[in-house]
Amino acid sequence: METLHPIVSFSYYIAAIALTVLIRNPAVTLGALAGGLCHWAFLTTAKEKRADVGFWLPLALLVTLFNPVFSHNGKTPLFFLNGNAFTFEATVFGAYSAVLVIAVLVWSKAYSRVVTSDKFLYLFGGALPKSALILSVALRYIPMLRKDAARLKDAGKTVGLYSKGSLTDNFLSSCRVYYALIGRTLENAVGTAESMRARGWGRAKRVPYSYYRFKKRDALVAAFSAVLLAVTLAASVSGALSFSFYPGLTAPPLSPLAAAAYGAFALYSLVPLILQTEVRLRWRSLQSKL
Amino acid sequence: MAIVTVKALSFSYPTANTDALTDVSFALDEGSLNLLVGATGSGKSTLLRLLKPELAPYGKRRGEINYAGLSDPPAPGEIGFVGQDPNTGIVTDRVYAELAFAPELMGLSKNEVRLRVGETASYFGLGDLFERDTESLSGGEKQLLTLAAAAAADPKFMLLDEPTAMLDPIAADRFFETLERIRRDFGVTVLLAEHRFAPVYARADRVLALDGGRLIATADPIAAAKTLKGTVLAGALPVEARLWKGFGCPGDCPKDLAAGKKLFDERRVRDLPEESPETEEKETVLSAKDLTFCYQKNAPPAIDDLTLDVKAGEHLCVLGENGAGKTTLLLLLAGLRPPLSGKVRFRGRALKDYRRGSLYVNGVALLPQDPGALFLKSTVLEDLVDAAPGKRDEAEKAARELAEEYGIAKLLGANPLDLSGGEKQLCGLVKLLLRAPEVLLLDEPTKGLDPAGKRLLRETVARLTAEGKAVVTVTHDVEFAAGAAQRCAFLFRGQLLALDAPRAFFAKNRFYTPAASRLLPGALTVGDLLAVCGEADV
Amino acid sequence: MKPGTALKWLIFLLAIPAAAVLGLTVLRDVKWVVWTVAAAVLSAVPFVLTLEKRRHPLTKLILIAAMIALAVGGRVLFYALPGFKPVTAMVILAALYFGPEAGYLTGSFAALISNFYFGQGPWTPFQMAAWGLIGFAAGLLAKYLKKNLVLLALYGAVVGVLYSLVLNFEHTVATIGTFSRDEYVAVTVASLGFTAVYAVSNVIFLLVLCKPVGKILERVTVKYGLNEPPEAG
Repeated sequence: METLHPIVSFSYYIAAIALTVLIRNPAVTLGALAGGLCHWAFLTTAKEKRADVGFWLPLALLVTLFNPVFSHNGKTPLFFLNGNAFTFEATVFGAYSAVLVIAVLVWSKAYSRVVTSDKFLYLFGGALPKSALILSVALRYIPMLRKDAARLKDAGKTVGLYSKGSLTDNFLSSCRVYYALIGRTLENAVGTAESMRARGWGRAKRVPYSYYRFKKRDALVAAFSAVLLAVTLAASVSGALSFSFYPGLTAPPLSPLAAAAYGAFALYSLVPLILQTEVRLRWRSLQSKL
Repeated sequence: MAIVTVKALSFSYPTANTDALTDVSFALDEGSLNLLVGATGSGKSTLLRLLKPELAPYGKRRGEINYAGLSDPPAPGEIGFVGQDPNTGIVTDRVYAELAFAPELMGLSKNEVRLRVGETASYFGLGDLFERDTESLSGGEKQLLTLAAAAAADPKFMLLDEPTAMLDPIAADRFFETLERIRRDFGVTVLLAEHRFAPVYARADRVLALDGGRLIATADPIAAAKTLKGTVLAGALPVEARLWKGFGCPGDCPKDLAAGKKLFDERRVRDLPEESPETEEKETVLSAKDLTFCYQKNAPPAIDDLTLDVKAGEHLCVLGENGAGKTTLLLLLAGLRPPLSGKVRFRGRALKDYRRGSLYVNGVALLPQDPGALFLKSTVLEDLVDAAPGKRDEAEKAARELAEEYGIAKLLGANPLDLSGGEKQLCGLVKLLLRAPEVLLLDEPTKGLDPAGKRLLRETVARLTAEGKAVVTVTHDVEFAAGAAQRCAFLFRGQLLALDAPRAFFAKNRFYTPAASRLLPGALTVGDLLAVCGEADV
Repeated sequence: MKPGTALKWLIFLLAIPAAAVLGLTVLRDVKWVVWTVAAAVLSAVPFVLTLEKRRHPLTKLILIAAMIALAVGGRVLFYALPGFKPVTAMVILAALYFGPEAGYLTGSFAALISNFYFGQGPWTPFQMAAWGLIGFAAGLLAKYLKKNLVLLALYGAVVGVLYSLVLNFEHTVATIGTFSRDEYVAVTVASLGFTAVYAVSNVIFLLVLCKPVGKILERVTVKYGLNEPPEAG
């Protein structure tokens, strides 16, 4: 997935997240979650997975319970508390919301991993050069700042900062370091501008360096994904996917269009997995030939 | 054929009453390597900047600058510029973006840009670093990237303002080699300003020397050496030239080490005197025992089972290359990082037993590689007052007195950000001294200093040790260590591999030896060489 | 009109109605989501267009980038105090000394950049819009905020609260697909702790930083930024 041209991967994720959020159908959402988790499995280390799950599970629980507590719609009450009905439908909706939220978080994480800052800047830098310049310089400065902040903190400690141990002193010392950091960084900004002008910024029109090439594989993935999206959207537009939770759980009839859409979106969500498998198989066949 | 001709150039800054440059005239031949030397403040940077339209400062200018073979006025890409701060030159966050910066603005087609970037990366050997974050590069790599990025525009003329000032000798050598390659391969004209010019001196086609804004020499290196002998710049000349100067400049200046050795052997009359062993037992004031430190959990140790004693009234120099652990050692000695195992003791007490902050009053002081990091206020005086103990009045009095003593009284009203490297260092030192430390740790204090600055540093350290303070310097500057230390140590991969008095220390080394010892084993400075020839060191 | 400009106007004029149509017809239950995202994204358009189309001194652009970096990177100094982020204070200060437009860009891009480190998601356009508008409004009120420290502190507190409210709105709408007042109130109440810490941290940072940092920014605008002739680009 990382090797695709940014326009393809970017569009893919945006469409995935958008449709997940917009199409409120449990089958669709579950498909999104399943595909997303497969993708996430490839992108993260075991340690990261533990951290993520540790955050997602409590969140899911919270969201699930939140809904029936505050929303009392639904025709099937489970029990009553303070005169308010805890309905079955509200609980199911809560669970559904949890699935949705987690799916969005999983896809967002995948997006963040794959569409990195340089890919993002590549996409928008052509049309928005000044914005890309600002973003690129800011990204250049941040790691530099961090190092500088550490140096200033060390030096500060030897001349009296951070010497009282209280939280207030710690905070005020950090503020003083921050103030020095701001001064130094802004001075540096002048040097940056100079370095740019020295190399010709501001004279001719900029032709951005095209680091990424649009290859056949990109076209294939794009076309394939587009078809699947079209099917899903068609079904959604026609109302074949409209599921309602209130007053009672009502699923839409399983028309051929609906079934196609469920399959299509699930397949769409599995594209990263498909790509990963394809790469693995290709390597294996290559190695067996060698 | 001259590519740049400068006629009677004079320049003064808007707020100054004296000229920064007066009546400077010279011509540079195409493809030549020209060395620009001069003390800090002699006008080198001003001259370099005036030669590139995009960087030219505002002010009053007289005289003319003519370029042959360049557009009129020269396009930005035709004249390349590399400054001394590796961080300022780099403007993007990725290596490939930095290399692409100039080609993108040259009116090339998309494919031409791509080709130029690939070409440049290949020629400069940056293929491995291509996708890296620029901030993750070492100082030497950053300067090479800045050079490559400037070269990507295909310049005919390169201006370099002390490009290796912040680099260690190995990175500096690599930089000079790469620069030479471009010059040889493409006939680029180079004007290089440097303090540490010994490595390139003999190779230069011409040496231009500035003194107080005036050009006092423009000639080949050997002839220029005669002119430079009187100035403080002579301290940066190669050892054979300094020796020749010490002899009163008989005949022509020796052009290389072999010629220098010949001259030395002719004049030598006796042997090196025996070194009398140190009789006075000095008190240990800071000690490290079995010190170990790692930056990350399973990484190899940055400091490995290190034991070291720092004695009062003594200057200890720790030598070693980049990554040997020098800065880490100082951070540990200053109590700024807790060791993984082992102990650091100050005045017999373990560092962790000192209450927060109390270690730094009348205790240990650390002058960082960037002394500017010590300054948190908007004027030097405010910073000094902040560091001095006691109420405002006492503090200010103490600050002014010490500033006077160290000759920085005129800088008290300046903003620390406006100071030069040498000024920052001196002011930083004064700020630390106001806290009456017993131990001073100096991190690479010779970085970016001109010969005069180095001499001042040597004298300051001598003064501090005379007052009974302990000074520990970490450096890669062998010459400085040879001339200033009472004991030297060699650090490699976090381990202390040698610790001895200078003569004994350098006698055991094969590579890390002062230049003087190549003319006479055991000699540390040109002064030793001259003494052996019966001459006094001027 | 150049083809590029025509295209931009086309997108602008088609985008809003298209979003509305899409919301009302196609995805009928979730029109809220579409409208809010569209609004968030589109609010950036005039500012970005102004940035790209007009001439700006290069130094000003770099200073904005530096302020963004300081806003985002400054966090590392204060990790000991959870919830204390100097971002909003820096965005406001940038706006006060560099102008409302610069304030918007600093805020908006700081959100974007920050998320490259902490994770992107559907919340990004909202954070960008929120911080952008915080900067923009601060720039418009610069005259009053610079003179009166109390007003400045008040502004910090108010925007801290508003920011939380906007983000809670996004969370509610994204989670349940539509806006439910009960849910929204519940979420807001639940996050009161965070909101309070955030508002307080804004106030403290503004009070502590505004004079010293203001001095630096003043010196910088005089020395370089806004007095240079604009350059092409």
